[in-house]
Amino acid sequence: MKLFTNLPGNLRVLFGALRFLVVCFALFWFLNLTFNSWIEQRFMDEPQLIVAVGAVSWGVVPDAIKLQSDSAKPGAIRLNNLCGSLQMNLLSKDTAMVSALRWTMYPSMVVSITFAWLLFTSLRSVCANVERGEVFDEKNLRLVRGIGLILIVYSLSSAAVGLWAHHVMGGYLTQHVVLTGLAVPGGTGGLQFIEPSGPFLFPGFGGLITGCLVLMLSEAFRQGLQLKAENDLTV
Amino acid sequence: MPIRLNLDQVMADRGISLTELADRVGITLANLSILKTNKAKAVRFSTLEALCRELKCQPGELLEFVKEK
Repeated sequence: MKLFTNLPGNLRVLFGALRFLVVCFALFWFLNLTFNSWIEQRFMDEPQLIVAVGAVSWGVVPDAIKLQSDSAKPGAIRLNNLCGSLQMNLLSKDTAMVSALRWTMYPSMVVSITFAWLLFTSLRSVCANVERGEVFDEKNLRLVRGIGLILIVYSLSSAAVGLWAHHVMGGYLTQHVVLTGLAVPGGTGGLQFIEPSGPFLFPGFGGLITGCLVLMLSEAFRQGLQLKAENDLTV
Repeated sequence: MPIRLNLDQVMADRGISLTELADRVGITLANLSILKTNKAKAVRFSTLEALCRELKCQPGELLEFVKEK
């Protein structure tokens, strides 16, 4: 397959493109949050910048919403809770909401953009080195170790950001938001913030395990570097 | 390096050029040059065997131990 003829070169181009997309994404949001917001607030009566905040769920009073099946007995299938995605207006005049929204969105965006850029830059550099024939050398060893550490730190950071977002947005929803039109336990409250939305690359334990695997790979690189050093200038 | 390869002397005695020897031994000219200028860190037995076969000599004629001062 032509794809595998020059795999390092093709991957270098791919990671370069992904890095460029991360920069475009960051630029898009920077412009959206600055100029677009300024234009909306200056020229529009009701400025709007609707953003996806994350997923919410709420418990359902038993039998408030019934599920019927033509094959199972009544009561065999029950709806426990409902989930949905939450959207908010970032340019709302409600300062409490906007503050909660900013404290939820901005940390996750900064973490995602920073680590994505670092990761794709490192991957691109590794592919460029391998394409030049420089596989087992100090530069590549440092890059591969760096990639492993980036993945581990990113996964821990995104978990921390998720907890923080859960605390901030969950607090706002609990204090200021009521749900109407649906029978939920505990009256009209009970809206829970599950997780923030965002371009998380490797959410959860995936990033942690992948990072550990990459660190193990860097150990293989280190031993390869030792073997290469022994074999250099051996005729 | 205390171990020296007296390749240039043996080649001159046999009247064989670097290019011809590299072809016969089956290594690149660059590697043979590394051997000749004593820049090599190690020599494989297979390379030593090929050199001795083509130069019709013993390993002791090629290799010499020189004490470092």
